[in-house]
Amino acid sequence: MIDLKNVSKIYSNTTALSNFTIKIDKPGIYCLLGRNGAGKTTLLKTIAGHIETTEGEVSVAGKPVKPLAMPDSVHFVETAASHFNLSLEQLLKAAAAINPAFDSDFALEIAKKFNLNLRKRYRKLSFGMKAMVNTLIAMSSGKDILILDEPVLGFDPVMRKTFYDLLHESVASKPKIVIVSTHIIDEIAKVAEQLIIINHGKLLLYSDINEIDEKAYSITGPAEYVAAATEGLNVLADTKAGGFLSRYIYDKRIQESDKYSINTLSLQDFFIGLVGNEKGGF
Amino acid sequence: MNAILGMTKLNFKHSKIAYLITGAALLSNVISLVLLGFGIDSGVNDIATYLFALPIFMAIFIPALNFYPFMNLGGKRIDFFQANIITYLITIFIVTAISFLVHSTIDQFVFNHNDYDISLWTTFGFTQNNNFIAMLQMFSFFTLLISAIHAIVLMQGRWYGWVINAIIVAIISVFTPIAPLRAALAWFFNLIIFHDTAILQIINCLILAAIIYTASLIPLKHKPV
Repeated sequence: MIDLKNVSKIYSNTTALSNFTIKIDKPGIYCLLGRNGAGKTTLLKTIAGHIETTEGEVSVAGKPVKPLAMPDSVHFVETAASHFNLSLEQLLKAAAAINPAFDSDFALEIAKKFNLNLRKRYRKLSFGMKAMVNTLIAMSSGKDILILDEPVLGFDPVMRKTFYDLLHESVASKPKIVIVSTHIIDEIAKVAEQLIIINHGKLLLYSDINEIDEKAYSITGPAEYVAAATEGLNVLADTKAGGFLSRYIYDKRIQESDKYSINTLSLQDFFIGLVGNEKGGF
Repeated sequence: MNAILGMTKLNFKHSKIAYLITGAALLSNVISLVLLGFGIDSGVNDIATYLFALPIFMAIFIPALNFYPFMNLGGKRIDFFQANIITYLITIFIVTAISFLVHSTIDQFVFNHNDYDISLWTTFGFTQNNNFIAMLQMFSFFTLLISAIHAIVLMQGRWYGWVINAIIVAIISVFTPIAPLRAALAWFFNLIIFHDTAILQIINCLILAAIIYTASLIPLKHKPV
């Protein structure tokens, strides 16, 4: 459904996306990870048709995407989005006025779940509540592809939990592609099915989350045993403390041994190991 | 089409600043006239002229303020482009009709046919033609003006916006004192306002408006969210 072929985006002297190719066609929740300035927002805005590529092709549902030919099936929202200073009730009506597919009943239902005051004007809402309104509008848009750029920024833990539950519920009730960019990695890992990691504008990893659970692990033990056991494996990063060595691996599992310990990596550790040491690539 | 009409409605609903400025200008004009007790002894803009502030301010504030909220509500740029021209045309049509009515009635009464009435209708000479043609002339001229303002506002923040700003300043400051350039300016104004043949003035304005408004797709395409 989403197809990017050799997409590059260059701003003056900065390359935000470099020869980026990806195909996303299975409904589900996709987690987009990358460090600040990695090109996440540029990628998301390119898919939504808000940015014209310097090179390459972007298509959604088989149709080329450009700023003047934005896809019908995509709803993009970022945390800091500005809105008309209306009450939430009026804002939902405005959303329904410009989007015939907008599901007002669902929007009201979510607003109730989040205890949002329908009479409160947008500018009077807290940062977290504004972010929630933006997410609410996206989730009620009735579109097949939702792109949420940092949706949980400003949410307290309870709101984040409710948000992830709703996201899961929303995809389960009507299959759709949801791409979520976030820095709160381990939380999204509980609901996301696919992982996209971007670094320096390049696609570093596009994988099933379960595959990462299987293949991402760390080995700790005396340096000589760890070095021998990990020979030929894909080492993401290593840390040394005295005679002990810890290695982050993304590869096939090795056999357990009493000479070293093996621990499964959390998604956050895996991500840091992957992009933190600038090694990258598999 | 639903999305375009939805945006058009929202444009009318969210043009409060334009309504307020126009309302304030009209009110101050009416208060001045009342305080003068209609004893006007110098040139004063008439009420009909002030009404045209509305489409002008709408063309400034709609592209400047309504773009981001529309995009964040899930709108599309091309729909925004179409909704805006519909908003402008409806506004210009209504304002032109009301302005003509006010010019023919209230302003005639207030100014009592004296020489102090500064009116776009008489200054442009449109009232020399029949009423329908005069309104069509004003409608066409304002369609051109509003298209230009809309395009210029969208260009702000882009390099070509600054170039256009510099050109406008150059036209105002350089063209006026230099005779041949002043003649060029006079030729242009003749083309869009003072043309002897009303139908040609209308056609010129509408063609130029169509070109300029279509060209506004370029800054709209580049406008970031």
